[in-house]
Amino acid sequence: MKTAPRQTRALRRRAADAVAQRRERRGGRPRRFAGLWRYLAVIGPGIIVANAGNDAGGVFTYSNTGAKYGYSLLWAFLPIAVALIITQEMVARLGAVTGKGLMDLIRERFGVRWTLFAAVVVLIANGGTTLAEFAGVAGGLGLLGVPLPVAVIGSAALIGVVVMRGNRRLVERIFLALGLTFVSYIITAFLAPHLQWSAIGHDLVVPNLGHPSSVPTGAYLVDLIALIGTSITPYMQLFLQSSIVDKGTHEADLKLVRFDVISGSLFAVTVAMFIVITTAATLFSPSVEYPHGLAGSGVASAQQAASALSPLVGVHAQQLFAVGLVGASLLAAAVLPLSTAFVICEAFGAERSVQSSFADAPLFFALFIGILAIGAGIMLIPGVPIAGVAIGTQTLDGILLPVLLVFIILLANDRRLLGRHCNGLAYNIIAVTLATVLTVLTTTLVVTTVFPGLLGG
Amino acid sequence: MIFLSDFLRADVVDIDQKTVGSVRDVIVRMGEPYPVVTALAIRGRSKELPATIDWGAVRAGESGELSLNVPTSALQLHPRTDEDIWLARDILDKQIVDTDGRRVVRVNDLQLQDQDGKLLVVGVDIGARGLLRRLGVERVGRRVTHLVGRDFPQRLISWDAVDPVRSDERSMRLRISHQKLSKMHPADIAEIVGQLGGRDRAAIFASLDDEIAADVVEESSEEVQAQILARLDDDRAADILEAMSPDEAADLLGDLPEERREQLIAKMEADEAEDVEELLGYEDDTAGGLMTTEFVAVPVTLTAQQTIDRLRELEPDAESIYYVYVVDAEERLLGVLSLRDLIVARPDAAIADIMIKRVIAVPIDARPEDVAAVIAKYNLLAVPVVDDDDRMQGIVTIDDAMDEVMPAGVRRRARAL
Repeated sequence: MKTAPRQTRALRRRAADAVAQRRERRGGRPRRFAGLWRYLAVIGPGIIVANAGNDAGGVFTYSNTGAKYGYSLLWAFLPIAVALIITQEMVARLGAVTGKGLMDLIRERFGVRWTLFAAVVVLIANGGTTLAEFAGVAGGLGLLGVPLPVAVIGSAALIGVVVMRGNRRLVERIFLALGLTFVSYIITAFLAPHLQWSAIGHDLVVPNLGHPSSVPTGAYLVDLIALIGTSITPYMQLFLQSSIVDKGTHEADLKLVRFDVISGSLFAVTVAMFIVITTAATLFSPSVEYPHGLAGSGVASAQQAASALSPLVGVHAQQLFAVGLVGASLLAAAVLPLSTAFVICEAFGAERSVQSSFADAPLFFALFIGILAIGAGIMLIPGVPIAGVAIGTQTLDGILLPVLLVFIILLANDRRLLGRHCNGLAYNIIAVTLATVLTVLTTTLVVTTVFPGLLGG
Repeated sequence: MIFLSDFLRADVVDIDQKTVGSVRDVIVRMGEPYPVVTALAIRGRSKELPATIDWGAVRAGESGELSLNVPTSALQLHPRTDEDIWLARDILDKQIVDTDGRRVVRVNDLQLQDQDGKLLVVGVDIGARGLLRRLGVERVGRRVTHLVGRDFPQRLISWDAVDPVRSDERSMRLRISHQKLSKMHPADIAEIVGQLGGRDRAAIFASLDDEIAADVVEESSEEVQAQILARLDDDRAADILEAMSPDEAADLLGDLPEERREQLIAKMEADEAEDVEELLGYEDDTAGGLMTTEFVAVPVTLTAQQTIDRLRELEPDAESIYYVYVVDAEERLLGVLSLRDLIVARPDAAIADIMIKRVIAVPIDARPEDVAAVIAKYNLLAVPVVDDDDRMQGIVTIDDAMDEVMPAGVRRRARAL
């Protein structure tokens, strides 16, 4: 007998998958329905991924937007929806046509140096998002009376177990189910007292480019970037393309993929909008002044964010909010470090599998454990503001998104790669505009932070 | 050692020491056993210069500089052909199959070697050292490892042992090298295929014959199977399904959307299609869903010699040859003979006399766990499946039964041994 070769990713996934399917079978589902599931499997990644955007970072950022700005930032959701659809469609198309992940393509097309650069960007962005997820876990469990250290350490340990023994498909389904909890915001909006629909309609379509005098320029930029960054996360793009590749989606399925991406994006943006509307109706007060910095969050705590749901469930608002937040955050906190370690190892050709030993896959484990430990560790620092961390990391995502976006645009224009499925002109215009807007916002933010007096902030 | 990364971006000077440009890529022609460098692609200083020049015009490479043996004005354009492979564009950073290590690796660098005046691609660097070299910090890495008192090993694999995964139009030409792949064990090919993207996968399947492709599909996970099938056209998919054992083919078809399933069954040969459709009628988590219809059953009236002759005629598959089932005219199960019983028996002995009459069989709606338990208890290689009237419908082989009860991870790990 030869020595055992290292366990690979394919092996592990295959194994986990086989177990899942065995379990499904035990349920006694007759074979003929399996076809339907396969069919549903083609559509799905888009919806799941778009809703993964409504995680801890998303909920806090949207709540913050509503509480701080009322309806006046609602207009941003229309361009965000368009940009989200365009970005996700490019990524989905790349995955379906090439059958490869985003980091793979960056490595193959741009070489080692650019891959290293992209890997560092992904690491920072996803590390930040993981931190936001732990903030969500801490906040949600805090509402249920669990002390913060117990919540954070316990969930980090739980994630270790889930990752070693869990299976991806199941995780995705739970993701989807828990993402739906936040649909309750839509219902709440209709129950909320003094909701001004005409004002909402007006603010939705008429861009309100100035910022309220109660918020300094720097803080306004931070919030705006966070709003874009949490709606179009770098992590979502990586995850979407991997899911599409894993599902084996074919070029011929591009129409279905588009439908999936568009409906997923619209759904996610709708939920996001209603979080803003609901919090605006319950928490917004034009007379409150917000200082710059983490202390100036529109929602100071999970408790406050949760109270936006009280028109729907009254005293149970805390519990409903906590369940949705903990579920979504916990799963994202498990998937993020894992998939980040994965794509980076894949790009560098390093050994990667949770079944191999540390000695066999040192980079993989170092990344996975490192991201998890830093995310959980920062939350354990006494006095870290939960809402502030959750929103701040989304600003970071927004700042780093253009980098990834440039790679995506270049790849989606590569004729050798995509052939006739290359980007059209309209795509390029919208995508480049998004990248430019974010870059300009980021630059302005940096400038106003360094020279506070410059824009009269 | 010479590496491709030493060449890339190196300056090119002509015989008069005038700078011509820098190296953009190194062009090779596939050769056996090693690809031969035929030309350089140049990123030129001026528009008039040829973009690709023959390797023959290159004299020697010194540190970071290549000098030519002709003046710039005498440079000829190297005609581009379909045979050309551009190393940086087509091989570097791509995934490649390491046929010795049976895995997919990424090309960090390529090792070149001068042999009788020809420059050959002899090795593929898959290690961290190659990565650091690409980043221009190989020396730093070496110093760090020296500090801890270790060497910084090169991780090179020979070009002999790699199989380029090429999925664009050129892949057809590389079919020769895919022979290496098709000599591997199907389970190993399946493992490699599982690590590749859709296009690359399709390229590999295009180069495998139906029998091997069928084995590879059988060895793949259900998820990968569905992905493979999604990339194949109907005719080819039907050919591969025919070559698969009916139970595996039925499992796979059962997971497809109804429309595609019917298209594929319609394209299959009538015999195979019938077997598969029959198996599709059983529920997944029963002995019926688990069994294969490929087994050997003989009438009770034969002698040992006649039975052996029948076996020769039928040429049954490996998994169904060990037991010969004895049935009456209504296909009711009467007894069983092992291959051993047949061989040691006198040729003229009636099988009715030598067969084991107390056959262990399972009903068609038995649960998979129970089937596995029966096989384990009686130390069987396969167990017959009978309907309510004791008529034989198929067999469940030990491997399929074990698949049902053993944790998948354990099973796969065992297979890798």
